[in-house]
Amino acid sequence: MNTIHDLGGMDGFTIPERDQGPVLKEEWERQVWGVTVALWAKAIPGYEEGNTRADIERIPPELYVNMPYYARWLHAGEVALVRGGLVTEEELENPDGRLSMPNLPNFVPARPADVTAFLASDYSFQVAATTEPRFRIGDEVVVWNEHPIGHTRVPRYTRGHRGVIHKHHGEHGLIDELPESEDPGPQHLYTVTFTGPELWGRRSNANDRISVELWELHLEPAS
Amino acid sequence: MADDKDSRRKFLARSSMVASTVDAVSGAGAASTEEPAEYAQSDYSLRTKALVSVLTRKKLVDPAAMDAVIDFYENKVGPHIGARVVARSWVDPNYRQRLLADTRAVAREDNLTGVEGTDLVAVENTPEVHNLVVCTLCSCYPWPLLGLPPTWYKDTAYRAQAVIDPRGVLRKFGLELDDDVEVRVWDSTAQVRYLVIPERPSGTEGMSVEQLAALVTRDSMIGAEKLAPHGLGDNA
Repeated sequence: MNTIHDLGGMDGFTIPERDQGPVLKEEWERQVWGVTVALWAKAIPGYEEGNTRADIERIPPELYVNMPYYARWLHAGEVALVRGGLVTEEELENPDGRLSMPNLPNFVPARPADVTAFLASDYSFQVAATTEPRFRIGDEVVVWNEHPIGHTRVPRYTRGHRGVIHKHHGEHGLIDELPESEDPGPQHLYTVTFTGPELWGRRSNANDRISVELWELHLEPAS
Repeated sequence: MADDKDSRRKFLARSSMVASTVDAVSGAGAASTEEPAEYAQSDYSLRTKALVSVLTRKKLVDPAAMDAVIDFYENKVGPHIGARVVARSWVDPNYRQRLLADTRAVAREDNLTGVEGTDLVAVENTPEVHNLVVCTLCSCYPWPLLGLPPTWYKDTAYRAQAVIDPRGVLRKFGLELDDDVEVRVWDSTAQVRYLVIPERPSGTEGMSVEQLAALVTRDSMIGAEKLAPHGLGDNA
Protein backbone atom coordinates (compact mmCIF):
# COMPACT_ATOMS: atom_id res chain seq x y z
CA MET A 1 0.00 0.00 0.00
CA ASN A 2 1.23 3.47 -0.82
CA THR A 3 1.44 4.97 2.63
CA ILE A 4 3.90 6.67 4.95
CA HIS A 5 5.94 3.58 5.89
CA ASP A 6 7.35 3.53 2.34
CA LEU A 7 9.77 6.31 3.14
CA GLY A 8 12.61 5.87 0.65
CA GLY A 9 13.48 9.16 -1.06
CA MET A 10 11.30 11.46 1.02
CA ASP A 11 12.68 14.85 2.00
CA GLY A 12 12.04 17.07 4.96
CA PHE A 13 12.88 14.93 7.98
CA THR A 14 15.92 15.77 10.13
CA ILE A 15 18.71 13.19 10.35
CA PRO A 16 19.09 12.26 14.03
CA GLU A 17 22.20 11.88 16.11
CA ARG A 18 23.37 8.30 16.27
CA ASP A 19 22.19 7.18 19.69
CA GLN A 20 24.45 4.70 21.48
CA GLY A 21 22.32 3.75 24.49
CA PRO A 22 20.31 0.59 25.15
CA VAL A 23 18.01 -0.46 22.33
CA LEU A 24 15.07 -1.12 24.65
CA LYS A 25 14.86 2.08 26.67
CA GLU A 26 11.51 2.30 28.46
CA GLU A 27 10.06 -0.47 30.58
CA TRP A 28 6.94 -0.60 28.40
CA GLU A 29 9.15 -1.04 25.33
CA ARG A 30 10.83 -4.03 26.98
CA GLN A 31 7.42 -5.48 27.80
CA VAL A 32 6.06 -4.91 24.29
CA TRP A 33 9.06 -6.65 22.82
CA GLY A 34 8.84 -9.48 25.33
CA VAL A 35 5.17 -10.17 24.70
CA THR A 36 5.51 -9.86 20.92
CA VAL A 37 8.27 -12.43 20.62
CA ALA A 38 6.81 -14.72 23.31
CA LEU A 39 3.65 -14.92 21.16
CA TRP A 40 5.72 -15.73 18.08
CA ALA A 41 7.62 -18.49 19.87
CA LYS A 42 4.68 -20.90 19.95
CA ALA A 43 1.70 -21.02 17.64
CA ILE A 44 -1.69 -20.72 19.33
CA PRO A 45 -4.05 -23.33 17.82
CA GLY A 46 -6.66 -21.81 15.56
CA TYR A 47 -5.14 -18.36 15.78
CA GLU A 48 -3.92 -16.97 12.52
CA GLU A 49 -1.05 -14.65 13.30
CA GLY A 50 -1.30 -11.31 11.63
CA ASN A 51 1.38 -9.99 9.34
CA THR A 52 2.86 -7.51 11.81
CA ARG A 53 4.39 -5.40 9.10
CA ALA A 54 1.09 -5.14 7.24
CA ASP A 55 -0.72 -4.19 10.45
CA ILE A 56 1.89 -1.53 11.15
CA GLU A 57 1.56 -0.21 7.61
CA ARG A 58 -2.19 0.19 8.11
CA ILE A 59 -1.66 2.66 10.93
CA PRO A 60 -2.97 5.96 9.55
CA PRO A 61 0.03 7.97 8.32
CA GLU A 62 -0.62 10.98 10.53
CA LEU A 63 -0.36 8.69 13.57
CA TYR A 64 2.49 6.57 12.25
CA VAL A 65 4.96 9.44 11.95
CA ASN A 66 4.41 10.52 15.55
CA MET A 67 4.30 7.11 17.21
CA PRO A 68 7.30 5.72 19.06
CA TYR A 69 8.67 2.66 17.28
CA TYR A 70 7.55 0.11 19.85
CA ALA A 71 4.11 1.72 20.05
CA ARG A 72 3.64 0.57 16.45
CA TRP A 73 4.39 -2.99 17.53
CA LEU A 74 2.02 -2.66 20.48
CA HIS A 75 -0.60 -1.46 18.10
CA ALA A 76 -0.07 -4.25 15.58
CA GLY A 77 -0.26 -6.77 18.42
CA GLU A 78 -3.55 -5.39 19.73
CA VAL A 79 -5.08 -5.25 16.26
CA ALA A 80 -4.08 -8.81 15.37
CA LEU A 81 -5.21 -10.27 18.71
CA VAL A 82 -8.59 -8.54 18.53
CA ARG A 83 -9.04 -9.54 14.91
CA GLY A 84 -8.10 -13.13 15.78
CA GLY A 85 -10.65 -13.20 18.57
CA LEU A 86 -8.14 -13.93 21.34
CA VAL A 87 -8.86 -10.69 23.21
CA THR A 88 -11.58 -8.09 22.96
CA GLU A 89 -11.34 -4.32 23.00
CA GLU A 90 -13.40 -4.34 26.21
CA GLU A 91 -10.88 -6.63 27.90
CA LEU A 92 -8.00 -4.34 26.89
CA GLU A 93 -9.87 -1.36 28.28
CA ASN A 94 -10.68 -3.13 31.53
CA PRO A 95 -7.90 -5.68 32.02
CA ASP A 96 -8.83 -6.41 35.64
CA GLY A 97 -12.44 -7.17 34.78
CA ARG A 98 -14.14 -10.31 33.55
CA LEU A 99 -12.34 -12.20 30.81
CA SER A 100 -13.69 -14.78 28.45
CA MET A 101 -11.21 -17.61 28.66
CA PRO A 102 -10.08 -19.14 25.36
CA ASN A 103 -11.20 -22.67 24.68
CA LEU A 104 -7.73 -24.17 24.45
CA PRO A 105 -7.73 -26.99 27.02
CA ASN A 106 -4.31 -28.42 26.19
CA PHE A 107 -2.48 -25.25 25.27
CA VAL A 108 0.61 -24.36 27.26
CA PRO A 109 2.10 -20.97 26.33
CA ALA A 110 5.72 -20.68 25.24
CA ARG A 111 8.16 -21.34 28.06
CA PRO A 112 11.64 -19.80 28.30
CA ALA A 113 13.16 -22.87 26.62
CA ASP A 114 10.72 -22.50 23.71
CA VAL A 115 11.80 -18.88 23.31
CA THR A 116 15.47 -19.79 23.24
CA ALA A 117 14.88 -22.54 20.68
CA PHE A 118 12.68 -20.30 18.53
CA LEU A 119 15.17 -17.43 18.45
CA ALA A 120 17.98 -19.74 17.35
CA SER A 121 15.89 -21.51 14.72
CA ASP A 122 16.43 -21.20 11.02
CA TYR A 123 14.19 -18.40 9.92
CA SER A 124 14.06 -18.33 6.18
CA PHE A 125 11.22 -18.39 3.70
CA GLN A 126 13.40 -20.29 1.25
CA VAL A 127 11.87 -23.44 -0.19
CA ALA A 128 13.27 -26.18 -2.43
CA ALA A 129 13.27 -24.74 -5.94
CA THR A 130 10.71 -26.24 -8.29
CA THR A 131 11.40 -24.02 -11.29
CA GLU A 132 14.40 -22.64 -13.12
CA PRO A 133 15.16 -18.99 -12.36
CA ARG A 134 14.01 -16.71 -15.15
CA PHE A 135 16.96 -14.33 -14.71
CA ARG A 136 20.72 -14.67 -14.47
CA ILE A 137 23.28 -12.51 -12.73
CA GLY A 138 23.90 -9.43 -14.88
CA ASP A 139 20.52 -9.50 -16.63
CA GLU A 140 18.83 -6.13 -17.00
CA VAL A 141 15.34 -6.01 -15.59
CA VAL A 142 12.52 -3.52 -15.08
CA VAL A 143 10.52 -3.48 -11.84
CA TRP A 144 6.80 -3.78 -12.28
CA ASN A 145 4.85 -0.60 -11.87
CA GLU A 146 2.11 -1.98 -9.65
CA HIS A 147 0.56 -0.18 -6.70
CA PRO A 148 -1.22 -2.89 -4.72
CA ILE A 149 -3.61 -1.87 -1.98
CA GLY A 150 -2.18 -4.59 0.29
CA HIS A 151 1.28 -5.22 1.72
CA THR A 152 4.16 -5.36 -0.76
CA ARG A 153 7.93 -5.56 -0.49
CA VAL A 154 8.46 -3.42 -3.59
CA PRO A 155 9.49 0.07 -2.47
CA ARG A 156 7.71 2.74 -4.48
CA TYR A 157 10.98 4.36 -5.53
CA THR A 158 12.00 1.28 -7.54
CA ARG A 159 8.79 0.84 -9.52
CA GLY A 160 9.16 1.15 -13.27
CA HIS A 161 12.93 1.49 -12.96
CA ARG A 162 15.66 -0.44 -14.67
CA GLY A 163 18.16 -2.43 -12.64
CA VAL A 164 20.58 -5.33 -12.90
CA ILE A 165 20.33 -8.75 -11.27
CA HIS A 166 23.14 -8.75 -8.73
CA LYS A 167 22.48 -11.95 -6.81
CA HIS A 168 20.09 -14.90 -6.86
CA HIS A 169 18.81 -16.31 -3.55
CA GLY A 170 16.75 -19.33 -4.63
CA GLU A 171 12.98 -19.66 -4.25
CA HIS A 172 11.33 -17.90 -1.33
CA GLY A 173 7.79 -17.68 -0.09
CA LEU A 174 6.10 -14.53 -1.33
CA ILE A 175 4.96 -12.08 1.31
CA ASP A 176 3.03 -9.57 -0.77
CA GLU A 177 -0.70 -9.64 -0.07
CA LEU A 178 -2.22 -10.74 -3.34
CA PRO A 179 -5.75 -11.96 -4.07
CA GLU A 180 -5.70 -15.77 -3.91
CA SER A 181 -6.34 -16.05 -7.63
CA GLU A 182 -3.18 -14.06 -8.37
CA ASP A 183 -0.89 -15.65 -5.79
CA PRO A 184 1.80 -17.60 -7.65
CA GLY A 185 3.32 -19.16 -4.50
CA PRO A 186 7.08 -19.19 -3.84
CA GLN A 187 9.18 -17.26 -6.33
CA HIS A 188 12.84 -16.85 -7.13
CA LEU A 189 14.29 -14.00 -5.10
CA TYR A 190 16.97 -11.67 -6.44
CA THR A 191 19.01 -8.72 -5.31
CA VAL A 192 18.45 -6.04 -7.95
CA THR A 193 20.88 -3.12 -8.16
CA PHE A 194 20.02 0.33 -9.51
CA THR A 195 22.29 3.27 -10.22
CA GLY A 196 21.61 6.45 -8.28
CA PRO A 197 20.82 8.49 -11.41
CA GLU A 198 18.35 5.83 -12.62
CA LEU A 199 16.32 6.32 -9.44
CA TRP A 200 17.01 9.93 -8.51
CA GLY A 201 18.13 11.71 -11.66
CA ARG A 202 20.60 14.55 -11.47
CA ARG A 203 20.41 14.78 -7.73
CA SER A 204 22.30 11.52 -7.37
CA ASN A 205 25.99 10.77 -7.54
CA ALA A 206 26.82 8.56 -10.53
CA ASN A 207 28.77 6.31 -8.17
CA ASP A 208 25.79 5.53 -5.95
CA ARG A 209 24.28 2.04 -6.15
CA ILE A 210 21.04 1.09 -4.44
CA SER A 211 19.99 -2.55 -4.08
CA VAL A 212 16.72 -4.19 -3.09
CA GLU A 213 15.49 -7.78 -2.88
CA LEU A 214 12.65 -8.49 -5.29
CA TRP A 215 10.76 -11.62 -6.26
CA GLU A 216 10.52 -12.86 -9.83
CA LEU A 217 6.93 -11.70 -10.39
CA HIS A 218 8.05 -8.13 -9.65
CA LEU A 219 10.46 -8.16 -12.58
CA GLU A 220 10.33 -8.14 -16.36
CA PRO A 221 13.28 -8.40 -18.75
CA ALA A 222 14.45 -4.96 -19.88
CA SER A 223 13.82 -4.56 -23.58
CA MET B 1 -8.60 8.56 29.79
CA ALA B 2 -12.11 8.38 28.41
CA ASP B 3 -10.85 10.07 25.28
CA ASP B 4 -8.02 7.60 24.97
CA LYS B 5 -10.38 4.68 25.25
CA ASP B 6 -12.72 6.11 22.66
CA SER B 7 -9.76 6.73 20.46
CA ARG B 8 -8.48 3.23 20.71
CA ARG B 9 -11.87 1.78 20.00
CA LYS B 10 -12.19 3.95 16.92
CA PHE B 11 -8.70 3.11 15.87
CA LEU B 12 -9.14 -0.64 16.20
CA ALA B 13 -12.44 -0.49 14.38
CA ARG B 14 -10.88 1.50 11.63
CA SER B 15 -7.87 -0.75 11.37
CA SER B 16 -9.98 -3.85 10.90
CA MET B 17 -12.07 -1.97 8.37
CA VAL B 18 -9.00 -1.11 6.37
CA ALA B 19 -7.84 -4.70 6.69
CA SER B 20 -11.06 -6.10 5.30
CA THR B 21 -10.97 -3.51 2.55
CA VAL B 22 -7.56 -4.79 1.60
CA ASP B 23 -8.67 -8.41 1.73
CA ALA B 24 -11.41 -7.65 -0.70
CA VAL B 25 -9.05 -5.56 -2.84
CA SER B 26 -11.93 -3.22 -3.29
CA GLY B 27 -12.01 0.52 -3.44
CA ALA B 28 -10.28 3.01 -1.23
CA GLY B 29 -12.28 5.50 0.76
CA ALA B 30 -14.21 2.91 2.72
CA ALA B 31 -12.41 3.77 5.93
CA SER B 32 -13.59 6.54 8.17
CA THR B 33 -11.58 9.72 7.98
CA GLU B 34 -12.34 10.47 11.60
CA GLU B 35 -9.04 10.80 13.40
CA PRO B 36 -8.42 9.78 16.97
CA ALA B 37 -6.47 12.89 17.80
CA GLU B 38 -5.76 11.78 21.34
CA TYR B 39 -4.38 8.45 20.28
CA ALA B 40 -0.75 9.36 19.93
CA GLN B 41 -0.78 10.87 23.41
CA SER B 42 -2.19 7.82 25.12
CA ASP B 43 -0.24 6.15 27.81
CA TYR B 44 1.71 3.35 26.19
CA SER B 45 2.77 2.07 29.55
CA LEU B 46 -0.83 1.52 30.67
CA ARG B 47 -1.79 -0.05 27.39
CA THR B 48 1.16 -2.42 27.52
CA LYS B 49 0.28 -3.43 31.08
CA ALA B 50 -3.31 -4.05 30.01
CA LEU B 51 -2.28 -6.25 27.09
CA VAL B 52 0.21 -8.26 29.13
CA SER B 53 -2.26 -8.67 31.99
CA VAL B 54 -5.05 -9.93 29.74
CA LEU B 55 -2.79 -12.35 27.86
CA THR B 56 -1.28 -13.65 31.10
CA ARG B 57 -4.66 -14.14 32.76
CA LYS B 58 -5.86 -16.00 29.68
CA LYS B 59 -2.74 -18.18 29.88
CA LEU B 60 -1.73 -17.23 26.35
CA VAL B 61 1.60 -15.80 27.49
CA ASP B 62 3.94 -16.93 30.26
CA PRO B 63 5.68 -13.92 31.86
CA ALA B 64 8.80 -16.05 32.28
CA ALA B 65 8.94 -16.39 28.49
CA MET B 66 8.72 -12.61 28.15
CA ASP B 67 11.64 -12.29 30.57
CA ALA B 68 13.59 -14.79 28.45
CA VAL B 69 12.97 -12.67 25.34
CA ILE B 70 14.10 -9.48 27.06
CA ASP B 71 17.14 -11.20 28.58
CA PHE B 72 18.09 -12.57 25.15
CA TYR B 73 18.03 -9.15 23.49
CA GLU B 74 19.57 -7.24 26.39
CA ASN B 75 22.23 -9.69 27.50
CA LYS B 76 22.83 -12.43 24.95
CA VAL B 77 22.83 -11.08 21.39
CA GLY B 78 24.29 -7.76 20.37
CA PRO B 79 27.01 -6.13 18.29
CA HIS B 80 29.72 -8.16 20.06
CA ILE B 81 28.68 -11.15 17.94
CA GLY B 82 29.00 -9.32 14.62
CA ALA B 83 32.24 -7.74 15.86
CA ARG B 84 33.79 -11.15 16.30
CA VAL B 85 32.81 -12.14 12.77
CA VAL B 86 34.41 -8.95 11.46
CA ALA B 87 37.59 -9.39 13.50
CA ARG B 88 37.95 -12.98 12.36
CA SER B 89 37.53 -11.90 8.73
CA TRP B 90 40.43 -9.46 9.22
CA VAL B 91 42.89 -12.06 10.44
CA ASP B 92 41.80 -15.13 8.46
CA PRO B 93 41.70 -14.58 4.67
CA ASN B 94 40.19 -18.00 4.06
CA TYR B 95 37.35 -17.27 6.48
CA ARG B 96 36.83 -13.85 4.90
CA GLN B 97 36.59 -15.36 1.45
CA ARG B 98 34.07 -17.98 2.56
CA LEU B 99 32.10 -15.39 4.54
CA LEU B 100 31.77 -13.07 1.56
CA ALA B 101 30.96 -15.93 -0.83
CA ASP B 102 28.25 -17.58 1.30
CA THR B 103 27.54 -15.70 4.51
CA ARG B 104 24.55 -17.81 5.37
CA ALA B 105 26.53 -21.07 5.25
CA VAL B 106 29.35 -19.69 7.37
CA ALA B 107 26.97 -18.18 9.91
CA ARG B 108 25.07 -21.44 10.15
CA GLU B 109 28.28 -23.41 10.72
CA ASP B 110 29.02 -21.14 13.66
CA ASN B 111 25.42 -21.23 15.00
CA LEU B 112 24.98 -17.52 14.34
CA THR B 113 21.75 -17.70 12.36
CA GLY B 114 18.32 -17.19 13.90
CA VAL B 115 15.18 -15.13 13.75
CA GLU B 116 15.66 -12.13 11.41
CA GLY B 117 19.06 -13.33 10.40
CA THR B 118 19.22 -16.53 8.38
CA ASP B 119 19.45 -15.23 4.81
CA LEU B 120 22.58 -13.23 5.58
CA VAL B 121 24.93 -11.37 3.25
CA ALA B 122 28.20 -9.78 4.35
CA VAL B 123 29.61 -6.91 2.26
CA GLU B 124 33.09 -5.45 2.63
CA ASN B 125 34.18 -1.86 2.74
CA THR B 126 37.36 -0.95 0.88
CA PRO B 127 39.03 2.36 0.07
CA GLU B 128 37.00 2.36 -3.19
CA VAL B 129 33.64 1.05 -1.94
CA HIS B 130 31.53 2.06 1.04
CA ASN B 131 28.46 0.02 2.02
CA LEU B 132 25.48 1.36 3.96
CA VAL B 133 22.47 -0.66 5.18
CA VAL B 134 18.94 0.66 5.62
CA CYS B 135 15.38 -0.64 5.65
CA THR B 136 13.18 1.96 3.99
CA LEU B 137 9.93 0.07 4.61
CA CYS B 138 10.39 -0.83 8.27
CA SER B 139 13.37 -1.81 10.41
CA CYS B 140 14.91 -5.03 9.03
CA TYR B 141 18.23 -5.71 10.71
CA PRO B 142 20.39 -8.79 11.37
CA TRP B 143 19.23 -9.49 14.92
CA PRO B 144 21.38 -12.60 15.57
CA LEU B 145 24.54 -10.68 14.64
CA LEU B 146 23.84 -7.17 15.94
CA GLY B 147 20.87 -7.45 18.32
CA LEU B 148 17.97 -5.04 17.95
CA PRO B 149 18.45 -1.93 15.81
CA PRO B 150 19.34 1.43 17.36
CA THR B 151 16.77 4.20 17.33
CA TRP B 152 18.53 6.20 14.61
CA TYR B 153 18.33 3.23 12.23
CA LYS B 154 14.54 3.15 12.63
CA ASP B 155 14.17 6.91 12.36
CA THR B 156 12.00 8.23 9.54
CA ALA B 157 14.74 10.58 8.36
CA TYR B 158 17.36 7.87 8.05
CA ARG B 159 14.95 5.56 6.25
CA ALA B 160 13.88 8.36 3.92
CA GLN B 161 17.29 9.78 3.05
CA ALA B 162 19.72 6.84 3.04
CA VAL B 163 18.64 5.74 -0.44
CA ILE B 164 18.43 9.14 -2.12
CA ASP B 165 21.32 10.92 -0.41
CA PRO B 166 23.58 8.40 1.30
CA ARG B 167 26.57 10.75 1.12
CA GLY B 168 24.61 13.53 2.78
CA VAL B 169 23.47 11.20 5.53
CA LEU B 170 27.03 9.98 6.10
CA ARG B 171 28.28 13.57 6.15
CA LYS B 172 25.79 14.34 8.92
CA PHE B 173 27.10 11.26 10.71
CA GLY B 174 30.62 12.69 10.45
CA LEU B 175 31.92 10.72 7.47
CA GLU B 176 32.89 12.63 4.32
CA LEU B 177 33.43 10.38 1.29
CA ASP B 178 35.21 11.37 -1.93
CA ASP B 179 32.89 11.62 -4.92
CA ASP B 180 34.68 8.80 -6.69
CA VAL B 181 34.10 6.33 -3.86
CA GLU B 182 31.28 3.98 -4.86
CA VAL B 183 28.50 4.01 -2.29
CA ARG B 184 26.45 0.84 -2.17
CA VAL B 185 23.19 1.16 -0.28
CA TRP B 186 21.48 -2.09 0.69
CA ASP B 187 17.76 -1.50 1.27
CA SER B 188 17.04 -4.68 3.23
CA THR B 189 13.27 -4.49 3.07
CA ALA B 190 12.67 -8.13 2.20
CA GLN B 191 14.41 -11.39 3.08
CA VAL B 192 18.13 -10.67 3.19
CA ARG B 193 19.90 -9.11 6.18
CA TYR B 194 23.25 -7.40 5.67
CA LEU B 195 26.44 -7.11 7.71
CA VAL B 196 29.04 -4.54 6.68
CA ILE B 197 32.65 -5.62 7.15
CA PRO B 198 34.40 -2.32 7.90
CA GLU B 199 37.98 -1.70 6.90
CA ARG B 200 40.53 -2.84 9.44
CA PRO B 201 41.91 0.22 11.20
CA SER B 202 45.60 0.97 10.93
CA GLY B 203 47.73 0.44 14.00
CA THR B 204 46.16 -2.94 14.75
CA GLU B 205 48.85 -5.19 13.30
CA GLY B 206 49.45 -8.30 15.38
CA MET B 207 46.33 -7.92 17.50
CA SER B 208 44.24 -10.98 18.41
CA VAL B 209 40.68 -11.59 17.26
CA GLU B 210 39.44 -10.67 20.75
CA GLN B 211 41.42 -7.42 20.79
CA LEU B 212 40.25 -6.52 17.29
CA ALA B 213 36.61 -7.36 18.03
CA ALA B 214 36.67 -4.86 20.88
CA LEU B 215 37.44 -2.10 18.35
CA VAL B 216 34.49 -2.87 16.03
CA THR B 217 31.54 -0.58 16.65
CA ARG B 218 27.92 -1.42 15.97
CA ASP B 219 27.51 1.52 13.63
CA SER B 220 30.55 0.53 11.56
CA MET B 221 28.80 -2.78 10.84
CA ILE B 222 25.82 -0.86 9.41
CA GLY B 223 28.15 1.35 7.39
CA ALA B 224 27.35 4.52 9.32
CA GLU B 225 30.96 5.16 10.28
CA LYS B 226 34.52 4.08 9.61
CA LEU B 227 36.73 2.80 12.38
CA ALA B 228 39.34 5.27 13.57
CA PRO B 229 43.04 4.37 13.38
CA HIS B 230 43.99 2.57 16.57
CA GLY B 231 46.10 4.38 19.12
CA LEU B 232 44.99 7.81 17.93
CA GLY B 233 42.25 9.97 19.33
CA ASP B 234 41.92 8.05 22.57
CA ASN B 235 40.71 11.22 24.18
CA ALA B 236 38.24 12.03 21.42
